Amino acid sequence: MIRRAVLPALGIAGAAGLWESATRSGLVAPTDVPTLTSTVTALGDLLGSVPFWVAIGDTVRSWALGLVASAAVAIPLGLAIGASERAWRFVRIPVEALRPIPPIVILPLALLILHGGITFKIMLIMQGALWPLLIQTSYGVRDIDRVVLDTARSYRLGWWRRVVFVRLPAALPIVASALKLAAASAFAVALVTELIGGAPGLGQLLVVAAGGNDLPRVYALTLVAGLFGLLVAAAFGALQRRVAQTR
Amino acid sequence: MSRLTGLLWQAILPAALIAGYQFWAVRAHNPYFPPLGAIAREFRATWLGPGFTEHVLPSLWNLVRGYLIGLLAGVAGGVLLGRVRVLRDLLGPLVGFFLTLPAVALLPIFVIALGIGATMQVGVIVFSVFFVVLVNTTAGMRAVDAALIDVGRAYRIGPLRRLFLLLLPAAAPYIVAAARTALSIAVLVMVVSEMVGAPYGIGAVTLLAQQEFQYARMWAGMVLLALLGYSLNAAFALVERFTVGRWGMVATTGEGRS
Repeated sequence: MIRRAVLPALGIAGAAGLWESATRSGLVAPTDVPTLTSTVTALGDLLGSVPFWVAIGDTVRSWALGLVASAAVAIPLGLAIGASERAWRFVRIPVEALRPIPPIVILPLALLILHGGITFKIMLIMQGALWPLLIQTSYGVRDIDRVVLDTARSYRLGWWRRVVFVRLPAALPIVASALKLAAASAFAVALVTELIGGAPGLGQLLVVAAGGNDLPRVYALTLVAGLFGLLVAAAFGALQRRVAQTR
Repeated sequence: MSRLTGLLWQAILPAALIAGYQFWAVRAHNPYFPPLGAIAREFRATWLGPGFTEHVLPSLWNLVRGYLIGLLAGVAGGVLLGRVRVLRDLLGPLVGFFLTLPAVALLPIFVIALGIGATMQVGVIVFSVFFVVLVNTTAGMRAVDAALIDVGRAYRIGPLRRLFLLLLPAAAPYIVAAARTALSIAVLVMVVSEMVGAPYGIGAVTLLAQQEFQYARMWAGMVLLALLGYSLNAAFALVERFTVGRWGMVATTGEGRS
């Protein structure tokens, strides 16, 4: 019990000590990696600055909107596709073929047409998050016990009720795990649109800090990106566990 | 539904989309959306001529190097973390942090430390692959049946043979699932790493074409990237079927990242 609490803390402290001593002693050039203390100072400065919070707001807004839009399209569509054999055959193969295509593919075109605004960010996030969500939902819907479905039918539940009250709950665990992955990749794609497309947000701050060779700030911003990633993973992990429990 | 009509049914949507695009693009004369013929010509001129050795091969070589190094290092690290509990507890939070940190966010740091070039690109790809494989290999090692290890011990199998004949095969479904996720991430990271100012590579040429109003070339780049993502995934599925599939190991869905 003590081990489980002490060792992780020891690991973090050790990494921090290693970072500080390696950069202080000159083992790693200060032009390559800043010291931990200067990074922490830069992080403190960031947390007290308005542009930082505006950038966080920009990134989080596009991430959330992109994710919600993807879910709003993919989950109902996935339900419909999964519930119909014809629709399944008609759509599955093209969508399966699209899935391994990296979302970055449409970046040049989207940048051209949408000029790097929030619509551009949401389009790209959707390209990254929508297809996996759609496929997973339709798999989840198909992965249902035939007996349950036949029971619902013999109770004369209509098509709509069968989909909403029988198929959807059965698919929820898979949908929840797909949502967790989609949330993570949506965040990565949001960062890409800011790093490459120049859209406002955390990634743009990173580019500006790197351009000004402000190393402590670059490291502090990267730290923030990592912490946000952890937060997203924890939140969606908790959601996934809840869904698994209620089943 | 017979097999043939099933196949036809599946082909309708993609065929209709492509035909619809061509029908519209020929008439619309929109410079952003060139007809298929123009894209095909530009594809040949940009990627199949000298551009193949200048841009396509270096991109692929970076991808292959970064992917394989990250994969091997990830499996090695995962074996270590899976077997040694103290290490697992000690490094747990750090591994968790780097797993959820999108690899693309590290591009500025890599550019500062290594400059723009192949070393930086391979470095980011290695990083993006390493942590996915590390975490899933660790999980795979921990999922190995304790009875299997006891049997190995009873037969006095040495540590090396135990690793290669018992532990790694038992963890293979986890490792394969992670390797697949990591491949699509590596492709994304390769392209993005080329878009931050690299002088060569598929991503660099594609973004530059957009900035220089060479829209047919931009489309040729998009088509190549799409084909690359698709065929790498298909190749992986093929390898999977003839190796772990044939050995009776079914892949699980792994812990992902991006």
